[in-house]
Amino acid sequence: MAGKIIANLIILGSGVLLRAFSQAYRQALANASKTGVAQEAIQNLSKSSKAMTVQEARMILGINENTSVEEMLKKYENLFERNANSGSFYLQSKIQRAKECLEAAEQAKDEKET
Amino acid sequence: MLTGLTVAAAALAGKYSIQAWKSFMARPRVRKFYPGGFQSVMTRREAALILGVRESSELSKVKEAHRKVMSANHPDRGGSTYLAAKINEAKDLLLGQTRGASAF
Repeated sequence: MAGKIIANLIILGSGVLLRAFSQAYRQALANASKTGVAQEAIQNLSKSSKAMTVQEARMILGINENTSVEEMLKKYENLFERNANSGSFYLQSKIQRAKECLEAAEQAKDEKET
Repeated sequence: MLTGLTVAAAALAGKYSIQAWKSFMARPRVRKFYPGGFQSVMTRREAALILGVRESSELSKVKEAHRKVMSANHPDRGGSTYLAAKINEAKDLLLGQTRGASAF
């Protein structure tokens, strides 16, 4: 008699547990579809394949359209050097890409004028 | 005698190829710069890259890295406000998620 009660309890308990697990799993799947590594990978593919814009390059180096090339190079060298010592490689990369972007833009401008 | 010669030749060839492989693996690596600009919405990964820490670093490490990177990019010392803002945003992102430590 006690065995039957215990058996019933065990069956009920495992049923509750199973339901809880399946709900949690579904919730985790829903969460994963919004954030998580797979989503970030997709986002990264679409977003960081964008090349740097001239505007962002100017903001990174802290110059405006009227700054001379020498001034820009001075700022680039200063920032690059300081970040090489105590910054991160990622920031160094962005500074490098900013300079390259502005140099390319300058070259394109020169070619249009000549 | 022929078999002996072939064995010797094979051994020499093996030794040479192993040496070539070792020097190839040990060549000085020049790190390639990350391409493109900053992401339009900062992710934890980007924040960790900006500060030069791991995504799972603890609070004190994040703060220490933030101070170090900020000293190199401080606007008062020739850094750009844009980079300083990015560094601060990176720190806030990592600290917000490390301190909260929610299960969801």
